[in-house]
Amino acid sequence: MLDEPALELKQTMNLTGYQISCLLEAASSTPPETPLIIVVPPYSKTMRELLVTSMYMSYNGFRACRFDFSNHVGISEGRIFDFTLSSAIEDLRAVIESVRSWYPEARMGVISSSLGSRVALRALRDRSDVRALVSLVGVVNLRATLSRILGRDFIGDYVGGQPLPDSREVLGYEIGRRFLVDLVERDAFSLESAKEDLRACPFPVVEILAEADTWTEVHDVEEVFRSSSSSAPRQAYVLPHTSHKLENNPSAARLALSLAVVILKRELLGESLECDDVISPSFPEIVRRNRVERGIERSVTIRNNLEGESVPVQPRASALDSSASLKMQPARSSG
Amino acid sequence: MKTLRQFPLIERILYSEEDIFHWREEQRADFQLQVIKEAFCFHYDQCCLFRNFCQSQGAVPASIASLEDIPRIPLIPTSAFKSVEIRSVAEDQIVKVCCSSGTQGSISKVPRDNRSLERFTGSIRLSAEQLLEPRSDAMVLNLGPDTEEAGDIWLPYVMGVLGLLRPAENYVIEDTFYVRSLSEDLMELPSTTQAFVVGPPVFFVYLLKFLEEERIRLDRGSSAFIITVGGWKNALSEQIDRTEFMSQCMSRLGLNGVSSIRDAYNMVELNTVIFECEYGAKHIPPWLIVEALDPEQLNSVTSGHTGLLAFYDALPTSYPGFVLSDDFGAVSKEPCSCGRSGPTMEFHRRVAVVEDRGCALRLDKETRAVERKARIARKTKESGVA
Repeated sequence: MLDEPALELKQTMNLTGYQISCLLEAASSTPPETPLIIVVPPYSKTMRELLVTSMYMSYNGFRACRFDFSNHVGISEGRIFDFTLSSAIEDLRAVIESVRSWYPEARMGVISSSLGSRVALRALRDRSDVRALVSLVGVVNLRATLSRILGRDFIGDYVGGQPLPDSREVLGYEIGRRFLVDLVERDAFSLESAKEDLRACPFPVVEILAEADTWTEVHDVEEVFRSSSSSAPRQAYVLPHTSHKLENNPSAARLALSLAVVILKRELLGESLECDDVISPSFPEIVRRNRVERGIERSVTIRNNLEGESVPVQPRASALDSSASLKMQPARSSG
Repeated sequence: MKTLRQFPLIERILYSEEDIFHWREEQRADFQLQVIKEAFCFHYDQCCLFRNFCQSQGAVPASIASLEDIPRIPLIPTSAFKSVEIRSVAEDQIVKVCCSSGTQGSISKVPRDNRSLERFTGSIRLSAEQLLEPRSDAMVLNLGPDTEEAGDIWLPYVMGVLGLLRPAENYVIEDTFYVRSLSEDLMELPSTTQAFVVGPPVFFVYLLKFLEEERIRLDRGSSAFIITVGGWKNALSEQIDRTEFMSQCMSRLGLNGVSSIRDAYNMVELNTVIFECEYGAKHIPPWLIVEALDPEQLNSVTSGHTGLLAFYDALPTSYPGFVLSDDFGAVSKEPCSCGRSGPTMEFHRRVAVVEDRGCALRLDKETRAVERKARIARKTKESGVA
């Protein structure tokens, strides 16, 4: 039986002045110097949807820090219409600075997925305070990935001088043209830019990719990792017969997250572990945690509503069972 | 680049975006033979009780060479789960003992490990995505409690688990159905938000009555789906005919058409949820074979005819998913109007002890056979014989 870790909701602020919500998680009485893993969200997912990643980290002796991007879904400030890679990069940098001030003695690792990995590669350039990055199904060629998702090469159009539409639906959310313009201005859309960013990361980087990923070509990842001339270790692992959506595949997610724990233990603590030694959260524990974190989401949404911030309409029953406070200790596990 | 270990075939399909309801017949047959045979071998090896039961009926893994051999796999009557512990994994692997609601007296107890629960959720996700086609912003309005309050009772737990897949609200809190909150939420949710209202049919009757009393007529159009689960069970006195039920839902909730009202079939011993398509046909996913059996001889009846429903479910790992239900229904091999491939099934009614005496006796006989094997298995274990 395992004591469920404690959750703590904290706020920080990015350069634009937007509030970023972070959810910290660690086993009770974890000392402040405990190695800390920052969990970078992918596009269109909230930190609640990364609870399994966070649980893997805390169950295996790390402190985990998740956050919601600003200008995004989740409980940080801003509308997803205004989302850009630059704002996400600044958010990650702001979170790292805050984490440094909250836990100055903690070694730091980062785990990211999908578009969050592209954010991480750019944000972590030249950082000597990061010990390792583990990327799951990381996007490396944003132009190609966006073309597949949107069915058209908008970046090619824009670079070729054609106008962009004011906005476009991307995976269920309307996103302003600024997203594409920013990718071009920041030179973050090409495979070459990913190679450059990886080269500038002075710490071990491990990619765990999905063989049946229709959004990221395995050979693109291979090329990025092969061309990295950094002296820091680079490794890539392939999950066979697996698609991009690891959240739909608990078996692949278990293997990927166990491997991530093994790598982070090795790089941050010098510990040698096998995947089978990694402690996995059980299904009922995940269900229970999801319920607790929905409560946190609701209470923050209600508070934001009271403060007049524009948030989506929430069903009234929320108020009936919203017992979650902002700092809480979930019930002891029986799973 | 290192390739990590392979996953079982069944999980490669279950956790993919495969269009399982448009498979060719041969593709379906090949897959079914492989995964059901694998499941049979696994449970034969791992579950002593099931192995003894199989041996007493002359069924061994080598007996299964083609799809036609699948009916040779012995079926465990669902009532056996009420009296015997049937388990294929070590006790410490069980994370939830799932219980039936016990409307017919005693309670079935089905042990599930993480893998079975994950696969169960995967079956909901894949079938629901392909038959209900929810939008990315879809939310669930659950006419049941959350998972904590549901405890080990299977149906409400399943409804609560939907909160893992989509944002969800629960309208039963401490045994109270907050019908007014539900009604208000249905009125206030923007028409751009797709609402899946999920619950036992009797809860929809309460909602309809409330709306009628309050003289409320909603206009959800195509932005709401009604998903009934669990049947009428102990609310038989309030049961209304399905056509009438649909008509009332459409009228009071302002739904676009009957295709916005679907039913889903499951029972605690089944690790798969079977959803209806827009034509009201329950589509059987390829990891599951359903047969309708003559209730006294237990032979397959012809396509479309009523029989006792039998399930060969390849998903569960913690118990054998080869079960003989006490539900009457029919399985049809005819193509569905929706254009999806594979067989469909209908649920007709539960077995009634009085009216279906022959069938009840046969089920009782089958259950006693399993119980005898359980006693033998226990004695063998106690005497230290492997």
